[in-house]
Amino acid sequence: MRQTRVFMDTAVSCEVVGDVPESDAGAAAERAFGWFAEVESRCTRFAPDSELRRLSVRPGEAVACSPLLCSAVAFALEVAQASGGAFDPTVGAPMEARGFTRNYRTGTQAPSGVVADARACWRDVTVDARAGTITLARPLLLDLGAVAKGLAIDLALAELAAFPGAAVNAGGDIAVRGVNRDGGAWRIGIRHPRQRDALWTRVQVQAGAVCTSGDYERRAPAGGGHILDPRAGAPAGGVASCTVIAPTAILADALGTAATVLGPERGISWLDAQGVDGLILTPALASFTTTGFARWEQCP
Amino acid sequence: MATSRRRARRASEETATRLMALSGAVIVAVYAVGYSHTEAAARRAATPPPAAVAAQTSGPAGQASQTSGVANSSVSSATPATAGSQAGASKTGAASGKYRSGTYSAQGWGPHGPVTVAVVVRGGRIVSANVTVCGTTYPCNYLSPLVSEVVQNQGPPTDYVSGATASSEAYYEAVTQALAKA
Repeated sequence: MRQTRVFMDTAVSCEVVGDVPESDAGAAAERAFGWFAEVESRCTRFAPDSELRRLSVRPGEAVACSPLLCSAVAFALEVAQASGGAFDPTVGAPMEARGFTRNYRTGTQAPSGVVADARACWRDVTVDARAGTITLARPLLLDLGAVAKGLAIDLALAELAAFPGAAVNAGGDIAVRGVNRDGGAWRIGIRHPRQRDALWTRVQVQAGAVCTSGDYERRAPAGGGHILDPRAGAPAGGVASCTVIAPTAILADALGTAATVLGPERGISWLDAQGVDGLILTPALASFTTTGFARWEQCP
Repeated sequence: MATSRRRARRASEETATRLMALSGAVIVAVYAVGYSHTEAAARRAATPPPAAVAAQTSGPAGQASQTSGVANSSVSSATPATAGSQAGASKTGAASGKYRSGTYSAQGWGPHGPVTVAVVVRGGRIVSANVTVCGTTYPCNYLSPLVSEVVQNQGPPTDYVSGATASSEAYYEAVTQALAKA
């Protein structure tokens, strides 16, 4: 049974496999979708009443935040540190400046109005997990786009743990566990970045996440991809698409974003060092893979 | 020099372990807390955004029926949520092989709109899987290679496609839904 809804400006599908009553599967899928609603409502920068936006208008204060937001931000800061700032969750204002301000639910432009300090970076954010607070040392706007979707995917999949097989797909970022409809490992194609509806390769995964971001999606109104190099303040170049296979979607999504910014060679080395596998394709279709990527690939 | 390289590698491995462990811990911790509201939000998600236009025009099987000029950057979820129940079938033969003979129709949904297919099964084998309704924002003739592939593989070659996909996602979903009835 597979159901699809719209969250985070993308189609989200939840699938369960196994000889189970449809009502049980449907109820579990509803709970799984509930996690997308929960994560989106707390982490979106497009709604003025989201927890993230309410935090963004109170720089200099230790603001009480939910465990979900604290965890998401804390994880983003860890990735920022590990990547030397190639990944930075404080890119909200630069993203707004590039035109990423549209609220997909209303279809209207929804800029935050936050006047960010141009010097702001991830080091200006502190999470006190024990106290349940987040402090922004400077005026800045968080953007959890590369973390929130993965987190929602993982939480939704956890909701489907009782079934022999399950998959959650949010706009091409996928997490699976157990068996597919044929009782085997899940077969996941990786989109060709330059040929619509063609696959570059296929992988087989029994449990884990496969996340791909490409320069073909979510283009800025003024041109350029949706992944910003936070250190340069410009769109990351040199990567047409980046796929990461990791135990969780939050990890795959965040590491893929950082690797895209780092570029093909450094990005792949860095993914290797993080203990995950990945594939980076350049605009000229040169292929860079981690040492372990081939073991996932499916025979044609 | 060798010592500093070893130290750097050890630090890198520790970082890797930390990130991987942390990502798992985040999921466990947040899941344990659970969520509070969301029912209303989940229902809201089932309602198409105002800007959404479900472009859907009929066309001959396997051919394109373009809806040029239709802004369909948003997607409606009402249709895919019930895609399974929309699968229709007209069985014409006895069970033989992996699938029962008949013609099975179903709709799938991708980021660019819906695609409806008719999968024809004879003697337990898929003999065609043509697009009967193309509701995407661009022609479905991009899907022609996939149609041959489904027949050759006797089913979709993958369960999912990673990367923001075009109508292949809708096509594979429609074929999968149709075959679920076969």
